[in-house]
Amino acid sequence: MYEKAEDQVESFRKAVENLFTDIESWLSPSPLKTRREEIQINEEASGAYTIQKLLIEDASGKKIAELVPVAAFVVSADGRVDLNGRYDKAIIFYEEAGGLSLTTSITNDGRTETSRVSLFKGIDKKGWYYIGDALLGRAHFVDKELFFDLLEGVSDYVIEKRS
Amino acid sequence: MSSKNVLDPIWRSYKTTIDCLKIAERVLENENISLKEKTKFAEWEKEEAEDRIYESRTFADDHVIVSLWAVFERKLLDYLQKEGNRLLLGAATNFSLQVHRKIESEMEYWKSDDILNIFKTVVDPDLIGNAKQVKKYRDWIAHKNPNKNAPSNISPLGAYEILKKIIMDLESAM
Repeated sequence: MYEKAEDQVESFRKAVENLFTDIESWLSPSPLKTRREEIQINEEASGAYTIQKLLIEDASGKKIAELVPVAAFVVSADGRVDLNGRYDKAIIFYEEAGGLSLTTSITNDGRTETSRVSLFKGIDKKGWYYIGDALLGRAHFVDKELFFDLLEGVSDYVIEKRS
Repeated sequence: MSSKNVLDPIWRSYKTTIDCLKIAERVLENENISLKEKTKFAEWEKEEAEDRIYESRTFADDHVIVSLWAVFERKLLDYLQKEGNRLLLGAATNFSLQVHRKIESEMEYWKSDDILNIFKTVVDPDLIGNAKQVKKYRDWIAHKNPNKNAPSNISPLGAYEILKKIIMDLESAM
């Protein structure tokens, strides 16, 4: 967590820029086109600030999905972007390091062992994560393959995966 | 430890609602008129129907957090009531009866943050801190003051996981 709100916003902007750059590069061999538009976000901690969203369109200009930054200040995360498609939404979070970790205690035969564990498993490096399943409690690092799966999940649009 | 959690039915209902909205959107896309019969969708133009679905999705995402909090807070008060009832066990005195009566009558008016602080002795304080943020976000949704900017954001899944973890830890500890 940054001391100053503007530092957190700036860090979020950079993380979003890196995410969008990655996605633009992943989509460039496909028929889909991307373009950015400026939006405004208003948060209690920072006030109003501008940031870009990323639209994903097919060759005819029909919108397939959009990635909309939602907040820089997120409970147990360092930023949130929503992938909004026609049929569903996938929420992805930016984690600087580790995510929320908690103390758990197990007592056996009068002996108590205490350890720190993450609320969501799988957050082992800085980056964008998707947490899909409440039952499994696992965070998945957003790479090209996962992004294509998420895009299909929210929009039914299938991108042919080539190695 | 119980494998069922009081928040699970709310979560399941929310996920089912989301899936129903996805199906509704697919019906619109496929222009399946027969499936729209005897529903409001039969009256709406496609664009209006899509707007209504989008609005409903946003509402569901916000209000599942309101519902989760209501049940969670009730559960915390149940635990406090159980602890308060210990005063009546064994050789209860007039004094312990008075203390119990006071707790029982005023507990419902205690502030959520104060109630959460009591549980710091049995639940990770970081988790309690996050629960306070869930409450703050819940209040912002419920009151939606257009002059107030949003507090720290929480997703429906984030709220569910934090509140569920607290209840699970309480069931283990108490």
